[in-house]
Amino acid sequence: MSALPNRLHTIATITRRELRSNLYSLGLYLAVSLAFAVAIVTVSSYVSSVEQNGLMSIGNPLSEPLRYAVFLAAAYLALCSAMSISRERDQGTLEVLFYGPVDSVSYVMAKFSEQMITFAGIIVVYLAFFAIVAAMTNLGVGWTFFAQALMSVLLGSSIIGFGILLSSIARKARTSVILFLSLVVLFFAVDLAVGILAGVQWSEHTASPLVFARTVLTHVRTATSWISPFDYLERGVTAIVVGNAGMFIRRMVEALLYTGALLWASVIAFDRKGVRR
Amino acid sequence: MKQLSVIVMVLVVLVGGLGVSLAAAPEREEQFVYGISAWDGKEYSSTFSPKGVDLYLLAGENHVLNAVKTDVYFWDITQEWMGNWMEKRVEVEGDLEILDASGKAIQTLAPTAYAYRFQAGGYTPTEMLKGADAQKAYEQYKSELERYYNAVNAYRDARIEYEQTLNAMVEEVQKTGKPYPESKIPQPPVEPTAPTGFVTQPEEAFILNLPAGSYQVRMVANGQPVPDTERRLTVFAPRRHGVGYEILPESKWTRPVMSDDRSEMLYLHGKRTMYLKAFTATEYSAHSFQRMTQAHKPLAGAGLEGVWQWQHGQELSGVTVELLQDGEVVQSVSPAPYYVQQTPGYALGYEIVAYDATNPAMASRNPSFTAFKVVLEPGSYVLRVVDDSGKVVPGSIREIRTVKQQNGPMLYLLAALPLLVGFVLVGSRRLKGRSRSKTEAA
Repeated sequence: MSALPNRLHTIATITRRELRSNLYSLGLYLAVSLAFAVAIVTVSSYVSSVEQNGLMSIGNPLSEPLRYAVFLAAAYLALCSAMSISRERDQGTLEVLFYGPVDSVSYVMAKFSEQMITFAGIIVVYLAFFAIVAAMTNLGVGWTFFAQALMSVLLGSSIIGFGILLSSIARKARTSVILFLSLVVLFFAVDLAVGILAGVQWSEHTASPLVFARTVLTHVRTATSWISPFDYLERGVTAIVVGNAGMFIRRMVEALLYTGALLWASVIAFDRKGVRR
Repeated sequence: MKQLSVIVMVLVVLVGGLGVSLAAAPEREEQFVYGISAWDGKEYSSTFSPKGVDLYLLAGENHVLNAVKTDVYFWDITQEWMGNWMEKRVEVEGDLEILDASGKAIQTLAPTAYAYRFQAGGYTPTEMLKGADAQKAYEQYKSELERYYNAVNAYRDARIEYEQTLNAMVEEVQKTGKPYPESKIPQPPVEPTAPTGFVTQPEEAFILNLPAGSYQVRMVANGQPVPDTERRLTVFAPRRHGVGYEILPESKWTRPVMSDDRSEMLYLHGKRTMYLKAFTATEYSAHSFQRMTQAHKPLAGAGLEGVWQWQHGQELSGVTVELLQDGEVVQSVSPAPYYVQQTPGYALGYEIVAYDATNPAMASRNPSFTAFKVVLEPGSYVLRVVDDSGKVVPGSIREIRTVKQQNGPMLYLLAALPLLVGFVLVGSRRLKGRSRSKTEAA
């Protein structure tokens, strides 16, 4: 057998094993339930706003809940990736595994494909869930919603790749988890702060520190937008809303390249750090 | 006591002096500036670019640039640069040279005659006329004005004559006691109507119309660049075009709901009456747009890079609003004037009624607004605007849906479903594992 089929066989074996483990993990179901609950809270707030105001113009009321749900699922899976690789290295399992026909490429790819299959399954469940929610509330599900769901798979790949890279860099499971969560919080905090400041109505009475903060944060946001996996989804969603097919394809290619770069960096980090504790 | 009053007087003088020094006039500096009259899609808005301030303009539109020298100062209270136009405004002679991003001169503009047209009741110009058109429009406006004044004079004379005739007839009736037949009573003269709108006297300036891109502009005189006149110029294009709606719900007519993006849906609760206004809408970079319209304000557009905003243009005219249900047109509405009538009594309340100039309650009053009235029963609809040839105006389609009553408990039960499935799967696996261990142990 040549190297490629061997590697594919190894990837398939590890993926199967990990998928089984994922399927019987209560955490996964908890994450999906949590995502559903967050989505329902968001949907309910839209519906009650319409009930109170009588008339509202809303972009795509199910887009925002889907985005939250996707973030939660992707973050959970990325966290699992970050923990599992570091833990396997920490416990010495990785070293034993690499005595067999497993190398850094097949290991990283197996971890990635296992999480991606799980993520794609979650997206299918989400679609069913949102179809029920749409029927119960009469909120619209347009083609942009389905395009966003498709784009979400790419977001998942970016976040999962990001988690794998962090776990390849960190020796301890705890370090990779702290690193992952810190970066996620940072990305969200910057995004939130920029969003809030962009919404502030400017006047000559606006305090100058606020103006300075908005300018600085905008630059920080521009910088983090190429590192943060969440921004790849944001850009993709914008392309969908704008209805620009060329832009949408470009965003998809960007997300794929980003994931490819993360996985490639993970393999290099793996080779450098080694598999020993 | 005398000592105390002296101290108080000294304090007053000191504080007064301090006040005077704090309220000192800001430092003025003579600068070359570009006076900008930028077309923003709806009207011409005025600003200026002092030293070191970049220019932003919309692509493919005519904009007016003046090259002048004035005293510039920064007014701290409103955080903006100001020009002392009333006391100093020196036109700078020369041509305007436009350079592309590589620094190559691509256009040299000579000053061109231009004039603005103001709509009736408007405070900002809505049209710019250039060259011979400007002169022609101004002459036309002047002759219309002259005709109006002549007509007013003629009206006054006719009015005096009419009143004199009427007085004479009244006196005669009082004397004779015999009324005049109605056919012999003269009709009052008709008051002439003033010209609508206003055209300014033509002046000379540079008229720019460029495609999107990065440029540099500077003044050139006798083939040489004029010092301190270089500025960077960003010409930006819109991202999207469409139709924007301003929707006045009957229950809250002063709080309109805006819908600019075609991806937006309108959600209703219950039966609703609303009044729609449709505009051309264009989406621009918020940063570039604000820099264009407020170049003299350093804070304008700060931190808004990457943010997009819709701008309403002209209100659509000669169009009809259609409502469709299951692909069939169920309502076709033309615009009509409406009047908001306060309900009598002390309690708050109003009623929106069709405007009727002959109704004494509305006499000598203008309509509150003109809009398309739409009454919607609960259901799903599609809203669109069609032009006079029956074509759907691009970007005007909006979906309208009525939300269903909230069913909170059922929705949250749905959220618990994955967890229940997880418990069943994990639990059954553990049970199987245990029974397998027991079997193996036995």
